[in-house]
Amino acid sequence: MSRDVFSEYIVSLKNVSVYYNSHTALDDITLSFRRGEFTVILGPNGSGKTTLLKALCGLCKFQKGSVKALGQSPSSYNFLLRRKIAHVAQVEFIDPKLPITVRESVATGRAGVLGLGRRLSKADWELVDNTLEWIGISHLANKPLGQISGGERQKTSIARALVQQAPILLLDEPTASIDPNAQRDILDLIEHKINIHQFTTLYVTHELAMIPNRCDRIVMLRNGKVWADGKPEELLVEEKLTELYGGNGFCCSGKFSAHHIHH
Amino acid sequence: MHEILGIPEYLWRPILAGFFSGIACSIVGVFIVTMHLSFLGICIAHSAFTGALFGLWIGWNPLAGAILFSLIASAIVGPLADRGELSPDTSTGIVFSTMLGLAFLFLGLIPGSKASALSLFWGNILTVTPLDIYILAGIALSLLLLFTIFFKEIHAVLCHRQVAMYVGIPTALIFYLLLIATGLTIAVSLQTVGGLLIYSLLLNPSASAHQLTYRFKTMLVLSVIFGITSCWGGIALSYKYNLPTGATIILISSLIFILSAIFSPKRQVKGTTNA
Ligand SMILES: Nc1ncnc2c1ncn2[C@@H]1O[C@H](COP(=O)(O)OP(=O)(O)O)[C@@H](O)[C@H]1O
Ligand SMILES: [Mg+2]
Repeated sequence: MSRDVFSEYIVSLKNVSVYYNSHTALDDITLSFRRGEFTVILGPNGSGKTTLLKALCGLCKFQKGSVKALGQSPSSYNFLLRRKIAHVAQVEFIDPKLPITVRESVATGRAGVLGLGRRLSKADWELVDNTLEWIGISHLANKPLGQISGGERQKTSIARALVQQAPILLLDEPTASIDPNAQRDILDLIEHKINIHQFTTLYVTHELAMIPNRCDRIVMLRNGKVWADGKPEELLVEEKLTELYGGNGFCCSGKFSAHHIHH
Repeated sequence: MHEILGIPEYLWRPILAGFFSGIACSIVGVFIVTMHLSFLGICIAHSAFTGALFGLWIGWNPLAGAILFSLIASAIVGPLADRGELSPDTSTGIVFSTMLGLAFLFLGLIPGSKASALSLFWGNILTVTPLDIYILAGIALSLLLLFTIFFKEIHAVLCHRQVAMYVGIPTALIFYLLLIATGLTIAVSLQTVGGLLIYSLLLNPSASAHQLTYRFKTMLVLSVIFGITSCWGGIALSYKYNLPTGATIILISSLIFILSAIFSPKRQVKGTTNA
Protein backbone atom coordinates (compact mmCIF):
# COMPACT_ATOMS: atom_id res chain seq x y z
CA MET A 1 0.00 0.00 0.00
CA SER A 2 1.50 3.36 -0.98
CA ARG A 3 2.01 6.16 1.48
CA ASP A 4 -0.52 8.40 -0.30
CA VAL A 5 -3.31 5.91 -0.04
CA PHE A 6 -2.50 5.32 3.60
CA SER A 7 -2.73 9.00 4.51
CA GLU A 8 -6.42 9.30 3.70
CA TYR A 9 -7.03 6.96 6.62
CA ILE A 10 -7.45 8.74 9.90
CA VAL A 11 -7.52 5.60 12.02
CA SER A 12 -5.82 2.32 11.29
CA LEU A 13 -5.06 -0.93 13.01
CA LYS A 14 -2.45 -3.33 11.70
CA ASN A 15 -2.35 -6.97 12.85
CA VAL A 16 -3.66 -6.03 16.27
CA SER A 17 -4.20 -8.78 18.83
CA VAL A 18 -5.43 -8.40 22.39
CA TYR A 19 -5.24 -11.21 24.91
CA TYR A 20 -6.80 -11.28 28.34
CA ASN A 21 -4.70 -13.94 30.03
CA SER A 22 -5.23 -16.91 27.75
CA HIS A 23 -8.41 -15.52 26.16
CA THR A 24 -8.08 -13.90 22.73
CA ALA A 25 -10.33 -10.83 22.56
CA LEU A 26 -8.95 -9.46 19.29
CA ASP A 27 -7.22 -11.72 16.84
CA ASP A 28 -4.98 -10.17 14.18
CA ILE A 29 -7.22 -7.25 13.25
CA THR A 30 -6.26 -5.07 10.30
CA LEU A 31 -8.68 -2.25 9.55
CA SER A 32 -8.48 1.36 8.34
CA PHE A 33 -11.08 4.08 8.52
CA ARG A 34 -11.34 7.09 6.21
CA ARG A 35 -11.82 10.63 7.37
CA GLY A 36 -15.53 11.28 7.81
CA GLU A 37 -16.50 7.66 7.30
CA PHE A 38 -19.44 6.30 9.32
CA THR A 39 -18.75 2.67 10.13
CA VAL A 40 -21.09 0.35 11.96
CA ILE A 41 -19.39 -2.46 13.83
CA LEU A 42 -21.64 -5.45 14.29
CA GLY A 43 -21.06 -8.64 16.17
CA PRO A 44 -22.48 -10.89 18.85
CA ASN A 45 -21.68 -10.36 22.54
CA GLY A 46 -18.07 -11.04 23.36
CA SER A 47 -16.88 -10.67 19.77
CA GLY A 48 -14.41 -7.94 20.72
CA LYS A 49 -16.28 -4.75 19.74
CA THR A 50 -15.65 -2.90 23.01
CA THR A 51 -12.04 -4.06 23.07
CA LEU A 52 -11.53 -2.71 19.54
CA LEU A 53 -12.74 0.79 20.54
CA LYS A 54 -10.63 0.78 23.69
CA ALA A 55 -7.52 -0.20 21.77
CA LEU A 56 -8.08 2.79 19.47
CA CYS A 57 -7.95 5.32 22.29
CA GLY A 58 -5.19 3.63 24.25
CA LEU A 59 -7.31 2.30 27.08
CA CYS A 60 -6.62 -1.31 26.33
CA LYS A 61 -3.14 -2.73 25.81
CA PHE A 62 -2.62 -4.72 22.66
CA GLN A 63 0.06 -7.37 22.73
CA LYS A 64 0.63 -7.47 19.01
CA GLY A 65 0.38 -5.11 16.06
CA SER A 66 0.20 -1.34 15.80
CA VAL A 67 -2.51 1.29 15.94
CA LYS A 68 -2.44 4.80 14.51
CA ALA A 69 -5.06 7.46 15.10
CA LEU A 70 -4.60 10.94 13.64
CA GLY A 71 -0.97 10.02 13.05
CA GLN A 72 -0.32 9.18 16.71
CA SER A 73 0.06 5.94 18.61
CA PRO A 74 -2.57 5.56 21.30
CA SER A 75 -1.40 4.56 24.76
CA SER A 76 -2.73 5.06 28.24
CA TYR A 77 -0.31 8.00 28.63
CA ASN A 78 -1.30 9.69 25.39
CA PHE A 79 -4.02 11.88 26.87
CA LEU A 80 -3.55 14.51 24.17
CA LEU A 81 -4.78 12.05 21.56
CA ARG A 82 -7.81 11.15 23.68
CA ARG A 83 -8.91 14.80 23.56
CA LYS A 84 -9.44 14.25 19.84
CA ILE A 85 -11.38 11.02 20.31
CA ALA A 86 -14.82 11.26 21.89
CA HIS A 87 -15.92 7.99 23.42
CA VAL A 88 -19.37 6.94 24.58
CA ALA A 89 -18.54 3.90 26.67
CA GLN A 90 -20.93 1.24 27.88
CA VAL A 91 -22.77 2.33 31.03
CA GLU A 92 -20.52 2.29 34.05
CA PHE A 93 -21.43 2.23 37.74
CA ILE A 94 -21.40 5.59 39.51
CA ASP A 95 -21.58 6.00 43.29
CA PRO A 96 -24.90 7.78 43.96
CA LYS A 97 -23.32 9.81 46.77
CA LEU A 98 -20.60 11.34 44.63
CA PRO A 99 -20.57 15.14 44.49
CA ILE A 100 -20.99 15.51 40.72
CA THR A 101 -24.07 16.59 38.78
CA VAL A 102 -25.27 15.65 35.32
CA ARG A 103 -24.37 19.10 33.99
CA GLU A 104 -20.87 18.90 35.48
CA SER A 105 -20.45 15.45 34.02
CA VAL A 106 -21.30 16.72 30.54
CA ALA A 107 -18.94 19.66 31.08
CA THR A 108 -16.12 17.15 31.63
CA GLY A 109 -16.25 16.72 27.86
CA ARG A 110 -14.89 20.27 27.55
CA ALA A 111 -12.39 19.81 30.39
CA GLY A 112 -9.96 17.74 28.39
CA VAL A 113 -10.15 19.77 25.18
CA LEU A 114 -9.58 23.09 26.94
CA GLY A 115 -6.34 21.97 28.53
CA LEU A 116 -4.93 21.96 32.04
CA GLY A 117 -5.94 24.81 34.30
CA ARG A 118 -8.17 26.55 31.72
CA ARG A 119 -11.66 27.37 32.90
CA LEU A 120 -14.81 26.72 30.91
CA SER A 121 -15.89 29.93 29.21
CA LYS A 122 -19.44 31.19 28.94
CA ALA A 123 -19.57 29.75 25.44
CA ASP A 124 -18.49 26.35 26.76
CA TRP A 125 -21.27 26.33 29.35
CA GLU A 126 -23.74 27.43 26.68
CA LEU A 127 -22.68 24.51 24.54
CA VAL A 128 -23.13 22.20 27.53
CA ASP A 129 -26.60 23.57 28.30
CA ASN A 130 -27.71 23.50 24.67
CA THR A 131 -26.57 19.92 24.31
CA LEU A 132 -28.40 18.91 27.47
CA GLU A 133 -31.52 20.55 26.11
CA TRP A 134 -31.08 19.02 22.73
CA ILE A 135 -30.63 15.47 23.99
CA GLY A 136 -33.62 15.99 26.28
CA ILE A 137 -32.09 15.89 29.77
CA SER A 138 -31.92 19.54 30.79
CA HIS A 139 -34.42 18.82 33.59
CA LEU A 140 -31.77 16.54 35.12
CA ALA A 141 -28.94 19.09 34.88
CA ASN A 142 -28.49 19.53 38.62
CA LYS A 143 -29.21 15.98 39.73
CA PRO A 144 -26.37 13.90 41.17
CA LEU A 145 -24.95 11.80 38.35
CA GLY A 146 -25.23 8.59 40.38
CA GLN A 147 -28.95 9.07 40.91
CA ILE A 148 -30.26 8.96 37.38
CA SER A 149 -31.31 5.87 35.46
CA GLY A 150 -29.10 3.87 33.13
CA GLY A 151 -30.78 5.36 30.07
CA GLU A 152 -30.42 8.88 31.39
CA ARG A 153 -26.77 8.22 32.15
CA GLN A 154 -26.31 7.02 28.62
CA LYS A 155 -27.81 10.26 27.31
CA THR A 156 -25.40 12.11 29.61
CA SER A 157 -22.47 10.21 28.09
CA ILE A 158 -23.68 11.03 24.59
CA ALA A 159 -23.99 14.71 25.48
CA ARG A 160 -20.49 14.65 26.97
CA ALA A 161 -19.03 13.09 23.83
CA LEU A 162 -20.81 15.64 21.63
CA VAL A 163 -19.58 18.70 23.55
CA GLN A 164 -16.06 17.37 23.16
CA GLN A 165 -16.39 18.09 19.39
CA ALA A 166 -13.58 15.71 18.59
CA PRO A 167 -12.87 14.63 15.00
CA ILE A 168 -13.24 10.94 15.92
CA LEU A 169 -16.36 9.61 17.63
CA LEU A 170 -16.50 6.13 19.15
CA LEU A 171 -19.97 4.95 20.16
CA ASP A 172 -20.26 1.74 22.13
CA GLU A 173 -23.90 0.66 22.07
CA PRO A 174 -24.90 4.24 22.92
CA THR A 175 -28.62 3.53 23.03
CA ALA A 176 -28.59 0.13 24.73
CA SER A 177 -30.21 1.31 28.01
CA ILE A 178 -32.56 3.88 26.50
CA ASP A 179 -36.31 3.14 26.13
CA PRO A 180 -36.96 1.30 22.87
CA ASN A 181 -39.29 4.02 21.59
CA ALA A 182 -36.72 6.75 22.30
CA GLN A 183 -33.71 4.88 20.93
CA ARG A 184 -34.38 5.82 17.33
CA ASP A 185 -34.81 9.50 18.20
CA ILE A 186 -31.52 9.62 20.06
CA LEU A 187 -29.78 7.79 17.28
CA ASP A 188 -31.18 10.29 14.76
CA LEU A 189 -29.97 13.17 16.93
CA ILE A 190 -26.45 11.73 17.07
CA GLU A 191 -26.47 11.14 13.32
CA HIS A 192 -27.54 14.70 12.71
CA LYS A 193 -24.54 16.02 14.67
CA ILE A 194 -22.21 13.60 12.94
CA ASN A 195 -23.38 14.81 9.55
CA ILE A 196 -22.92 18.46 10.51
CA HIS A 197 -19.43 18.04 11.98
CA GLN A 198 -18.23 15.25 9.69
CA PHE A 199 -16.93 13.18 12.61
CA THR A 200 -15.21 9.95 11.68
CA THR A 201 -17.52 7.55 13.46
CA LEU A 202 -17.23 4.00 14.71
CA TYR A 203 -20.60 2.88 15.93
CA VAL A 204 -20.76 -0.41 17.79
CA THR A 205 -23.94 -2.38 18.26
CA HIS A 206 -25.03 -5.96 18.57
CA GLU A 207 -28.61 -5.04 17.77
CA LEU A 208 -29.70 -5.08 14.16
CA ALA A 209 -32.63 -2.82 14.94
CA MET A 210 -30.17 -0.13 15.95
CA ILE A 211 -28.37 0.36 12.67
CA PRO A 212 -28.38 4.09 11.86
CA ASN A 213 -29.91 5.46 8.68
CA ARG A 214 -26.54 6.66 7.51
CA CYS A 215 -24.04 3.88 7.34
CA ASP A 216 -21.14 3.97 4.90
CA ARG A 217 -19.63 0.68 5.85
CA ILE A 218 -20.25 -2.38 7.97
CA VAL A 219 -17.56 -4.33 9.78
CA MET A 220 -18.66 -7.62 11.27
CA LEU A 221 -16.64 -9.08 14.13
CA ARG A 222 -16.80 -12.63 15.30
CA ASN A 223 -14.56 -14.29 17.90
CA GLY A 224 -12.19 -11.34 17.77
CA LYS A 225 -11.68 -11.52 14.01
CA VAL A 226 -12.97 -9.37 11.15
CA TRP A 227 -15.56 -11.72 9.75
CA ALA A 228 -16.85 -9.41 7.03
CA ASP A 229 -16.16 -5.86 5.90
CA GLY A 230 -18.12 -4.11 3.20
CA LYS A 231 -21.02 -2.00 2.07
CA PRO A 232 -24.29 -2.29 3.99
CA GLU A 233 -26.18 -3.41 0.91
CA GLU A 234 -23.81 -6.37 0.57
CA LEU A 235 -23.70 -7.35 4.21
CA LEU A 236 -27.13 -6.54 5.61
CA VAL A 237 -28.69 -9.56 4.03
CA GLU A 238 -30.41 -12.30 5.88
CA GLU A 239 -28.00 -15.15 5.22
CA LYS A 240 -24.96 -13.07 6.33
CA LEU A 241 -26.65 -11.90 9.50
CA THR A 242 -28.00 -15.30 10.41
CA GLU A 243 -24.53 -16.76 9.96
CA LEU A 244 -22.87 -13.97 11.97
CA TYR A 245 -25.14 -14.50 14.91
CA GLY A 246 -24.76 -18.23 14.87
CA GLY A 247 -27.73 -19.38 12.80
CA ASN A 248 -30.33 -21.57 14.47
CA GLY A 249 -33.38 -19.95 13.02
CA PHE A 250 -32.42 -16.43 14.07
CA CYS A 251 -34.68 -14.10 12.15
CA CYS A 252 -33.74 -10.56 11.46
CA SER A 253 -35.59 -9.50 8.33
CA GLY A 254 -37.64 -6.37 8.74
CA LYS A 255 -35.66 -5.33 11.78
CA PHE A 256 -33.75 -2.65 9.93
CA SER A 257 -35.17 -0.21 7.45
CA ALA A 258 -35.24 -1.11 3.81
CA HIS A 259 -33.15 1.84 2.63
CA HIS A 260 -29.95 0.15 3.84
CA ILE A 261 -30.39 -2.36 1.10
CA HIS A 262 -31.52 -0.03 -1.67
CA HIS A 263 -28.80 2.58 -1.39
CA MET B 1 0.39 38.67 80.31
CA HIS B 2 0.82 40.09 76.81
CA GLU B 3 -2.31 39.84 74.67
CA ILE B 4 -3.13 40.40 71.01
CA LEU B 5 -6.83 40.81 70.19
CA GLY B 6 -7.61 39.64 73.70
CA ILE B 7 -5.83 36.31 73.17
CA PRO B 8 -2.65 35.51 75.11
CA GLU B 9 0.41 35.78 72.88
CA TYR B 10 1.56 32.19 73.41
CA LEU B 11 -1.77 30.91 72.02
CA TRP B 12 -1.27 32.58 68.66
CA ARG B 13 1.13 29.99 67.35
CA PRO B 14 -1.22 27.06 68.00
CA ILE B 15 -4.09 29.09 66.56
CA LEU B 16 -2.18 29.71 63.33
CA ALA B 17 -0.90 26.14 63.22
CA GLY B 18 -4.45 24.86 63.70
CA PHE B 19 -5.70 27.16 60.99
CA PHE B 20 -3.25 25.96 58.35
CA SER B 21 -3.32 22.34 59.49
CA GLY B 22 -7.11 22.44 59.37
CA ILE B 23 -7.07 23.77 55.82
CA ALA B 24 -4.41 21.37 54.52
CA CYS B 25 -5.81 18.23 56.14
CA SER B 26 -9.39 18.89 55.13
CA ILE B 27 -8.50 19.58 51.49
CA VAL B 28 -6.40 16.44 51.23
CA GLY B 29 -9.24 14.65 53.03
CA VAL B 30 -11.62 15.49 50.18
CA PHE B 31 -9.28 13.63 47.84
CA ILE B 32 -9.11 10.64 50.17
CA VAL B 33 -12.82 10.46 50.97
CA THR B 34 -14.13 11.02 47.45
CA MET B 35 -11.80 8.43 45.95
CA HIS B 36 -12.39 5.95 48.78
CA LEU B 37 -8.73 5.87 49.68
CA SER B 38 -8.99 5.88 53.48
CA PHE B 39 -6.72 2.86 53.75
CA LEU B 40 -4.12 4.79 51.78
CA GLY B 41 -4.46 7.65 54.26
CA ILE B 42 -3.85 5.31 57.20
CA CYS B 43 -0.86 3.82 55.48
CA ILE B 44 0.77 7.16 54.72
CA ALA B 45 0.01 8.51 58.19
CA HIS B 46 1.72 5.60 59.87
CA SER B 47 4.66 5.81 57.53
CA ALA B 48 5.10 9.50 58.28
CA PHE B 49 5.07 8.69 61.97
CA THR B 50 7.65 5.96 61.49
CA GLY B 51 9.74 8.35 59.41
CA ALA B 52 9.70 10.96 62.17
CA LEU B 53 10.97 8.36 64.65
CA PHE B 54 13.60 7.36 62.13
CA GLY B 55 14.62 11.03 61.89
CA LEU B 56 14.93 11.28 65.65
CA TRP B 57 17.01 8.14 65.75
CA ILE B 58 19.61 9.21 63.19
CA GLY B 59 19.57 12.78 64.42
CA TRP B 60 17.66 14.49 61.61
CA ASN B 61 14.79 16.86 61.96
CA PRO B 62 11.83 14.49 62.48
CA LEU B 63 9.95 16.40 59.76
CA ALA B 64 12.55 15.37 57.17
CA GLY B 65 12.16 11.73 58.16
CA ALA B 66 8.37 12.01 58.09
CA ILE B 67 8.40 13.52 54.59
CA LEU B 68 10.81 10.89 53.32
CA PHE B 69 8.80 7.98 54.67
CA SER B 70 5.40 9.30 53.64
CA LEU B 71 6.66 9.80 50.10
CA ILE B 72 8.09 6.28 50.07
CA ALA B 73 4.75 4.92 51.27
CA SER B 74 2.92 6.92 48.58
CA ALA B 75 5.27 5.52 45.98
CA ILE B 76 4.52 1.97 47.11
CA VAL B 77 0.79 2.15 47.76
CA GLY B 78 -0.08 4.79 45.14
CA PRO B 79 0.41 2.65 42.04
CA LEU B 80 -1.62 -0.16 43.61
CA ALA B 81 -4.52 2.18 44.35
CA ASP B 82 -4.06 3.81 40.95
CA ARG B 83 -4.63 0.54 39.18
CA GLY B 84 -7.65 -0.11 41.35
CA GLU B 85 -6.06 -3.32 42.50
CA LEU B 86 -5.87 -2.44 46.11
CA SER B 87 -8.24 -4.13 48.46
CA PRO B 88 -7.73 -2.64 51.90
CA ASP B 89 -6.63 -6.00 53.24
CA THR B 90 -3.54 -7.50 51.69
CA SER B 91 -1.14 -4.99 50.20
CA THR B 92 -1.93 -2.12 52.54
CA GLY B 93 -1.94 -4.43 55.50
CA ILE B 94 1.59 -5.49 54.67
CA VAL B 95 2.89 -1.93 54.22
CA PHE B 96 0.98 -0.81 57.30
CA SER B 97 2.27 -3.54 59.60
CA THR B 98 5.83 -3.23 58.30
CA MET B 99 5.73 0.49 59.07
CA LEU B 100 4.36 -0.14 62.54
CA GLY B 101 7.10 -2.70 63.19
CA LEU B 102 9.72 -0.22 62.05
CA ALA B 103 8.18 2.45 64.26
CA PHE B 104 8.66 0.31 67.34
CA LEU B 105 12.15 -0.60 66.20
CA PHE B 106 13.17 3.06 65.83
CA LEU B 107 11.49 3.90 69.11
CA GLY B 108 13.68 1.32 70.79
CA LEU B 109 16.79 2.51 69.00
CA ILE B 110 16.41 6.18 69.92
CA PRO B 111 19.03 6.84 72.59
CA GLY B 112 18.24 8.59 75.89
CA SER B 113 14.89 10.13 76.75
CA LYS B 114 11.96 9.11 74.59
CA ALA B 115 9.95 12.22 75.44
CA SER B 116 10.26 13.87 72.02
CA ALA B 117 9.46 10.55 70.37
CA LEU B 118 6.37 10.02 72.49
CA SER B 119 5.16 13.54 71.75
CA LEU B 120 4.90 12.44 68.12
CA PHE B 121 2.13 10.07 69.16
CA TRP B 122 -0.05 12.90 70.44
CA GLY B 123 1.54 15.83 68.68
CA ASN B 124 1.98 19.08 70.49
CA ILE B 125 0.36 22.03 68.92
CA LEU B 126 1.31 24.23 71.86
CA THR B 127 5.02 23.94 71.12
CA VAL B 128 5.02 24.48 67.35
CA THR B 129 7.88 26.64 66.13
CA PRO B 130 7.54 29.57 63.73
CA LEU B 131 9.27 27.40 61.11
CA ASP B 132 6.56 24.72 61.52
CA ILE B 133 3.93 27.39 60.97
CA TYR B 134 5.63 28.66 57.82
CA ILE B 135 5.81 25.15 56.43
CA LEU B 136 2.17 24.46 57.32
CA ALA B 137 1.12 27.75 55.73
CA GLY B 138 3.13 26.90 52.61
CA ILE B 139 1.43 23.52 52.28
CA ALA B 140 -2.05 24.91 52.93
CA LEU B 141 -1.65 27.71 50.40
CA SER B 142 -0.15 25.36 47.80
CA LEU B 143 -3.12 23.05 48.20
CA LEU B 144 -5.59 25.91 47.87
CA LEU B 145 -3.76 27.04 44.75
CA LEU B 146 -3.64 23.51 43.32
CA PHE B 147 -7.37 23.03 43.85
CA THR B 148 -8.18 26.45 42.39
CA ILE B 149 -6.08 26.12 39.26
CA PHE B 150 -6.89 22.50 38.52
CA PHE B 151 -10.42 22.52 39.89
CA LYS B 152 -12.09 21.00 36.84
CA GLU B 153 -9.42 18.34 36.42
CA ILE B 154 -9.41 17.39 40.09
CA HIS B 155 -13.20 17.27 40.18
CA ALA B 156 -13.25 15.01 37.14
CA VAL B 157 -10.53 12.69 38.42
CA LEU B 158 -12.06 12.40 41.90
CA CYS B 159 -15.64 11.77 40.81
CA HIS B 160 -15.22 10.38 37.36
CA ARG B 161 -11.92 8.64 36.97
CA GLN B 162 -12.81 6.59 33.91
CA VAL B 163 -14.45 9.47 32.09
CA ALA B 164 -11.60 11.85 32.97
CA MET B 165 -9.38 9.34 31.22
CA TYR B 166 -11.66 9.17 28.15
CA VAL B 167 -11.82 12.93 27.66
CA GLY B 168 -8.05 13.36 27.75
CA ILE B 169 -7.35 14.65 31.25
CA PRO B 170 -3.91 13.48 32.45
CA THR B 171 -5.44 11.49 35.29
CA ALA B 172 -2.21 9.88 36.46
CA LEU B 173 -0.51 13.27 36.76
CA ILE B 174 -3.38 14.70 38.83
CA PHE B 175 -3.60 11.57 40.98
CA TYR B 176 0.11 11.53 41.84
CA LEU B 177 0.16 15.27 42.43
CA LEU B 178 -2.60 14.81 45.00
CA LEU B 179 -0.86 11.79 46.46
CA ILE B 180 2.37 13.71 47.00
CA ALA B 181 0.37 16.58 48.52
CA THR B 182 -1.23 14.04 50.86
CA GLY B 183 2.13 12.67 51.97
CA LEU B 184 3.52 16.15 52.60
CA THR B 185 0.42 17.33 54.47
CA ILE B 186 0.45 14.33 56.75
CA ALA B 187 4.17 14.62 57.44
CA VAL B 188 3.93 18.31 58.20
CA SER B 189 0.84 18.02 60.40
CA LEU B 190 2.36 15.31 62.53
CA GLN B 191 3.69 17.89 65.00
CA THR B 192 0.28 19.43 65.43
CA VAL B 193 -2.03 16.51 65.99
CA GLY B 194 0.32 13.59 66.28
CA GLY B 195 0.72 10.28 64.51
CA LEU B 196 -2.20 8.54 66.13
CA LEU B 197 -4.72 11.30 65.59
CA ILE B 198 -3.81 12.80 62.22
CA TYR B 199 -5.90 10.24 60.44
CA SER B 200 -9.12 11.54 61.99
CA LEU B 201 -8.32 15.15 61.20
CA LEU B 202 -7.77 14.02 57.65
CA LEU B 203 -11.01 12.09 57.32
CA ASN B 204 -13.60 13.61 59.66
CA PRO B 205 -14.00 17.10 58.13
CA SER B 206 -14.21 15.84 54.55
CA ALA B 207 -16.40 12.87 55.45
CA SER B 208 -18.76 15.29 57.26
CA ALA B 209 -18.82 17.61 54.25
CA HIS B 210 -19.44 14.63 52.01
CA GLN B 211 -22.56 13.81 54.03
CA LEU B 212 -24.04 17.23 53.49
CA THR B 213 -23.78 18.14 49.82
CA TYR B 214 -23.72 16.98 46.23
CA ARG B 215 -21.77 20.05 45.10
CA PHE B 216 -18.05 19.50 44.94
CA LYS B 217 -17.19 23.15 45.58
CA THR B 218 -19.50 23.24 48.62
CA MET B 219 -17.92 20.04 49.86
CA LEU B 220 -14.45 21.61 49.70
CA VAL B 221 -15.55 24.78 51.45
CA LEU B 222 -17.46 22.92 54.18
CA SER B 223 -14.56 20.56 54.70
CA VAL B 224 -12.16 23.46 55.22
CA ILE B 225 -14.59 25.16 57.62
CA PHE B 226 -14.98 21.92 59.61
CA GLY B 227 -11.22 21.41 59.67
CA ILE B 228 -10.51 24.88 61.03
CA THR B 229 -13.44 24.65 63.48
CA SER B 230 -12.12 21.35 64.83
CA CYS B 231 -8.62 22.75 65.35
CA TRP B 232 -9.72 26.02 66.92
CA GLY B 233 -12.45 24.44 69.00
CA GLY B 234 -9.98 21.81 70.17
CA ILE B 235 -7.41 24.41 71.15
CA ALA B 236 -10.03 26.44 73.03
CA LEU B 237 -11.32 23.40 74.91
CA SER B 238 -7.88 22.18 75.80
CA TYR B 239 -6.88 25.66 76.98
CA LYS B 240 -10.01 26.10 79.07
CA TYR B 241 -10.12 22.66 80.69
CA ASN B 242 -6.44 21.79 80.50
CA LEU B 243 -6.97 18.75 78.26
CA PRO B 244 -4.60 17.23 75.66
CA THR B 245 -5.04 19.32 72.49
CA GLY B 246 -4.75 16.49 69.95
CA ALA B 247 -7.58 14.68 71.70
CA THR B 248 -9.93 17.66 71.87
CA ILE B 249 -9.31 18.48 68.19
CA ILE B 250 -10.21 14.97 67.14
CA LEU B 251 -13.23 14.74 69.42
CA ILE B 252 -14.68 17.94 68.01
CA SER B 253 -14.13 16.72 64.46
CA SER B 254 -15.88 13.46 65.38
CA LEU B 255 -18.77 15.39 66.89
CA ILE B 256 -19.10 17.36 63.65
CA PHE B 257 -19.16 14.08 61.76
CA ILE B 258 -21.87 12.60 63.96
CA LEU B 259 -24.04 15.70 63.54
CA SER B 260 -23.49 15.69 59.76
CA ALA B 261 -24.41 12.04 59.52
CA ILE B 262 -27.62 12.68 61.48
CA PHE B 263 -28.65 15.61 59.32
CA SER B 264 -27.35 14.15 56.06
CA PRO B 265 -29.67 14.34 53.05
CA LYS B 266 -27.82 11.28 51.77
CA ARG B 267 -28.85 9.04 54.63
CA GLN B 268 -31.45 7.26 52.54
CA VAL B 269 -29.14 6.91 49.56
CA LYS B 270 -27.49 3.53 49.26
CA GLY B 271 -23.83 3.96 48.47
CA THR B 272 -22.93 0.51 47.33
CA THR B 273 -25.19 -0.88 44.65
CA ASN B 274 -27.06 0.85 41.89
CA ALA B 275 -27.44 -0.77 38.51
N1 LIG C 1 -11.02 -7.02 31.40
C1 LIG C 1 -11.22 -8.23 30.85
N2 LIG C 1 -10.65 -9.33 31.38
C2 LIG C 1 -10.81 -10.55 30.82
N3 LIG C 1 -11.55 -10.77 29.72
C3 LIG C 1 -12.14 -9.72 29.13
C4 LIG C 1 -12.02 -8.39 29.67
N4 LIG C 1 -12.72 -7.54 28.88
C5 LIG C 1 -13.27 -8.31 27.91
N5 LIG C 1 -12.92 -9.60 28.06
C6 LIG C 1 -13.30 -10.71 27.17
O1 LIG C 1 -12.94 -10.36 25.85
C7 LIG C 1 -13.95 -10.70 24.94
C8 LIG C 1 -14.36 -9.51 24.13
O2 LIG C 1 -14.99 -8.58 24.99
P1 LIG C 1 -15.68 -7.27 24.46
O3 LIG C 1 -14.72 -6.55 23.60
O4 LIG C 1 -16.19 -6.55 25.65
O5 LIG C 1 -16.89 -7.82 23.59
P2 LIG C 1 -18.18 -7.11 23.02
O6 LIG C 1 -18.08 -5.65 23.32
O7 LIG C 1 -18.14 -7.41 21.57
O8 LIG C 1 -19.36 -7.73 23.67
C9 LIG C 1 -15.08 -11.31 25.75
O9 LIG C 1 -15.02 -12.70 25.62
C10 LIG C 1 -14.81 -10.89 27.15
O10 LIG C 1 -15.22 -11.87 28.06
MG1 LIG D 1 -19.27 -4.41 24.41
